Amino acid sequence: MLTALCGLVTSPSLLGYMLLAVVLGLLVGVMPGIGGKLSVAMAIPFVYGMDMLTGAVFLLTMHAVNGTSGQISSIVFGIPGESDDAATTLDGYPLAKKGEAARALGASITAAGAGGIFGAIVFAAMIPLLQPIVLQFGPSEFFLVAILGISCIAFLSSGRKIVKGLIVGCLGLILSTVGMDPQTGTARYSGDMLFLWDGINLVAAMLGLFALPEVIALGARGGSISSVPRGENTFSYRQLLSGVAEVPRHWFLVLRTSMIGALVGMVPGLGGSVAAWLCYGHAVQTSKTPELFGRGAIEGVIAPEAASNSKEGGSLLPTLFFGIPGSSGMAILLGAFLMLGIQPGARLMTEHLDVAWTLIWALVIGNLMAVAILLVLCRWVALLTFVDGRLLAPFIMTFMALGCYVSSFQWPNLIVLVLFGALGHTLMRCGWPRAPLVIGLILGGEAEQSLNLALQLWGLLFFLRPLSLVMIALIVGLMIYAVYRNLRPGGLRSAEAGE
Amino acid sequence: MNRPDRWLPPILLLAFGFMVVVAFRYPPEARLAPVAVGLLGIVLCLVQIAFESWSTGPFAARFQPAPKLGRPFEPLDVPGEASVREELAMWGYFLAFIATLLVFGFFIAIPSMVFSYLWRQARVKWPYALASAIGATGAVYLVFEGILHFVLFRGFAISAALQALSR
Repeated sequence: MLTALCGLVTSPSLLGYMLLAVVLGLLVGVMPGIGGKLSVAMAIPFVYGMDMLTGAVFLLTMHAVNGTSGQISSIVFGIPGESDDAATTLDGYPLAKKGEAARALGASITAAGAGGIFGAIVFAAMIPLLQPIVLQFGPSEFFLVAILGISCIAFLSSGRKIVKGLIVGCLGLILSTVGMDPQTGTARYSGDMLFLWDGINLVAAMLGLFALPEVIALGARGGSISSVPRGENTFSYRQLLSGVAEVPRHWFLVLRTSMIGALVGMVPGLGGSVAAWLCYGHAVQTSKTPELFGRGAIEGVIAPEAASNSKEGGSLLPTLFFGIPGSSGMAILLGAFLMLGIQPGARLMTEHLDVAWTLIWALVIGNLMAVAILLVLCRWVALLTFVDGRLLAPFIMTFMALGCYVSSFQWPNLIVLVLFGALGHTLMRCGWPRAPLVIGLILGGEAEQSLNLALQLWGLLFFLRPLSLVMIALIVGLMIYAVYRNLRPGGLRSAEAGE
Repeated sequence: MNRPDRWLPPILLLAFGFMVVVAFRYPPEARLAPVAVGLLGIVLCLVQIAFESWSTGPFAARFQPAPKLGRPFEPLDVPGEASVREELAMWGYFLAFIATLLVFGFFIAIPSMVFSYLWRQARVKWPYALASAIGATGAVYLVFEGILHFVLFRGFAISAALQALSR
C-alpha cells in the first residue's frame, strides 16, 4: 500500500501526468456537454503510447476530477452542466443570488474533494473484505457474475423497461462472440475480415455507442451552459475560505453522504445523480433547519457534491475486481484499461494489487490537486461555461477518430465507429438503454470462456456450487421484481410512457 | 403503436434470428454461446413486441394510469423537426469526415472538417475557422507524428499516389 504511494509521489513524470490530467479534467468538466465519458474518450489516443500504470493513472484522475468543476455553472448561473449537478443547483444558486456564490463554491469544491478522497478510502477498505470472496470465485461464478452484472445494469438503467435492457444486453453478448472462437479456432461472423478475428474493437464500439451520440446531440443542440450576463455575481476569496470552513463544520454530514455515495457507486447502473439526490434528501431529513433548504442552505450544497464525487471510488470496485463497470463513464474507462493491458478480475487482486493501490492513491492525490487548483482558479474557470458547445464538436470528432484509429492502427475500426455510432444514436433516440450493450460486449468473452471451462470441469450441474447458488438467487430475485414492476396494473403503460 | 421505437424490436428480432441461423454453421462448441444468447434475444424481442401490442391494443385501457390532479399529460420527449434536421446535418459532417479520412487521410480530413463545420455550421468567421483548422491539424501532427512517433492513416488515394510517385 505504502509502496504504491511512494512509487507515485517519487515519480515526477507520473505526478506531471496527473497534474495534466487534473487540469484537463477540470477544464473539460466545466465545458458544456462534455462529461466524464467524452473526456476519457478524448484522452484515449494520448495514452496509447504510455505504459500501463501511467496511462491508467492519467485516465482515472481525469475521470475522477471531472465532476469537481461541474458544479460551478450550477452555483454561479443556476444551470447544471450535467444531471449529477442538478441537486447542487437547488441551494447553490439561491446562495449565489444572495451574493454568497464564493461561499457556496468554496463549500462545494472542498466537499467534492473530501468526497473523492473518502470514496478512495472506502475502496481501499473494501479490498481486504472482498479479496477472500473474489479468490473463491471459479469459472462458474465468473460466468454468473457477468450475467448478474448485465441483469443489474439492464434493470437499473432501464427501470421498468427491463425487457429492452435485457434485449440490448443480449445484443452486446452476441456481438462479443464475433471473432475467433478460442476453443475451436472458428472465425465467427467475421468471414475474411481479418480485423474482426480479434473481436470487435472495444474502444471503437464504446466511442460509437456513447461519445458519438453525445457529440451529435451537442452539435445539434448548440449553445453554452450559461447565458447569464457575466459579472452579475460578486466574488471574494474571504467568502471562498468561509465556504471551505463549512466542510469541517459539517464533517459528519460529509462523512455520511460520502459513505452513501461510495455505496451507490458500488451498485452497477446507479448513476451519480442518484447518489446526489439521495444525499440531498438525507441532508434535508437530518438537518436541524430543513426549512432553509431550497433557499440557500449550505448543507444542500455540501451533501450532493460529497456524494457524487465519492461515487467514483465506489464504482471503481466492481469495475476492477469483477469487470462490471459501474457507469457508462467507467465502461469507457474499463475499455481503455483493457487496451492498456489491465485485466480486471481475480488476477488483479493476486498479481497486480499494486496497480489497484496506485489507482487508489491517484484518486486521493488527484482530488487534493483538483481542490487546490479549483479554489484558486474557480473564478476564471467559471468563464468556460460561456463557451458554445457547437464550437467544440469538430474537435471532439477529431479526437474520437484519432482514438479509434490508434487503439489498433487499423482503418476498418473507423467503419466500426460509424456503425456503432448509428446503433448508439438509434438507441438513445428511442429511449433504449445503451449501457447493457457495452457491458455485454465487455463481459461476453470472459463469460463464454468461463462457461466453457465450468462445463468442462463440472458438467451441466456447474451452478450447484454455493456461491453460484447465491448469485442465481440474486438474478432470479431481480427478474421476479422486474416482472412484478412491469405487470402490476398501471406499470406497463407508465413504463411505455418513457418513465 | 405510434411510438418512435416501435420498429426497433422487429429489427433486433431479425438480427438475432440471422445470427442464430449463421451460428448453426459453426462446430457445436463454437455455436453454444451465440445460439443460446441469440435464442434468448429472440424470446425477449417477442415479449417486447407482445408488450407493445398489448399496451396499445384492446387491453391498453386497463393499464392507463390515472391522470395526476392539476397536472396535464405531458407529451413524449420526441425531438422536434429542427432538432432532427440539426442532427442529420451533424451526421452528414461526421460521415463526410470519415469518408474524407479514408480517402485522403487525417491530415486532409481534419482541416477540411474543422474549417467547413466551424464556418458553415457554427457560423464562425472564415479567418477564425481557417486558423482553427490549421491549428488543430498542426497540433495533431506535432503530438502524434512529432512527439509520439505514430504514423497516422494517410488515406487510400494519398497512399496510392505516394506509391505511384515512388516507383
